[in-house]
Amino acid sequence: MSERSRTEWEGLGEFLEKRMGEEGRITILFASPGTMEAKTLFTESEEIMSKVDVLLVEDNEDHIFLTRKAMLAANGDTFSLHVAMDGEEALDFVFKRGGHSDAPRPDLILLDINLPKKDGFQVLQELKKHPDYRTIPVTMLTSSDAYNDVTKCYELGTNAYVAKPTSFEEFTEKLKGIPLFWSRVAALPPKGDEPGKELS
Amino acid sequence: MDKQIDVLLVEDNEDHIYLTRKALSEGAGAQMKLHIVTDGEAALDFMNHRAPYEGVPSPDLVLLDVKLPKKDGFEVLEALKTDPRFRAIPVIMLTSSDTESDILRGYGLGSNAYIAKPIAFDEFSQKLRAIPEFWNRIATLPAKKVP
Repeated sequence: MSERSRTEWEGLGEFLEKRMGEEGRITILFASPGTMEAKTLFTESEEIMSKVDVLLVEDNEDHIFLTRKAMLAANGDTFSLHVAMDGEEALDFVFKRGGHSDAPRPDLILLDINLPKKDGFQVLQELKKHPDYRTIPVTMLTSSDAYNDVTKCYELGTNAYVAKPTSFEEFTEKLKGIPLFWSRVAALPPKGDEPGKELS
Repeated sequence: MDKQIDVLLVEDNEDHIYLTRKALSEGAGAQMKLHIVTDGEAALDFMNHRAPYEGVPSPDLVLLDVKLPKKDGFEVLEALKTDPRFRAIPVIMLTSSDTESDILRGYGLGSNAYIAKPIAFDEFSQKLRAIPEFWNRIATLPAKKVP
């Protein structure tokens, strides 16, 4: 992994920024000419920081675009965003079914409520009932701020509930805060992937 | 948006209480009113309004240490998350342990977030300040139940 990344680095264009990360790690962001996307990074020890796999369950293309942008602005180097556009696909992704056998275990799930096929409540309920996958933090990300919906989601076991702001600017600001909280402040559960092993 | 947020801190370490109080007195934490109990049994007494906690508000958010006298944080967490009256209240584990098994245990029992306390004071304060920043400014807390 480290070798491959070094090659990418040498072949890449413009140097973007270098900054100190947590625990003394140095993060270096690069972008290929003409794109703004961060491509690779190094740490002091030349090991690649582990990516945080975020599963976004969202059917609104504008919101997918804005979320992706906010993630890049927050700390684009360490997040890998996966998108499922309906509730069934979300569960297939997590449970590695139907074409998703290679899907990584998400470290964080961002879940809309109004979704085709299965809504966010159903997805949340299935995840939080599962002995293994219930440990993955879920943040509801939805246009509804009706008290009933908020309380219902917390009762079903969501880890946090974030109401989508209507203005573009606020949306980006708020969305940046979500991955930052979960990756820098909270400790995410380890990547371990054997079902049931943690709840002995 | 001026409504007060009642936070129950369950913590027996005086230095940590001091730092938490400080972090929750400014910025997004200024709206938070901190209530403190120093052991696990007192935490459940507070939640249930048992003596000497008659008339205390229901917390909007609980910050819970793991190592506690009488009942530890996991026992308190389990009691809260299996009780329909309290299940919706976000509980943040705030603990010195960052072992994988404790993190998994916390999330498995329904902790809303698990925060490992950094050893350095500065870093600890920074993480503490991030709590109201996220839970007050970014997230929406559940509606307070009127007793």
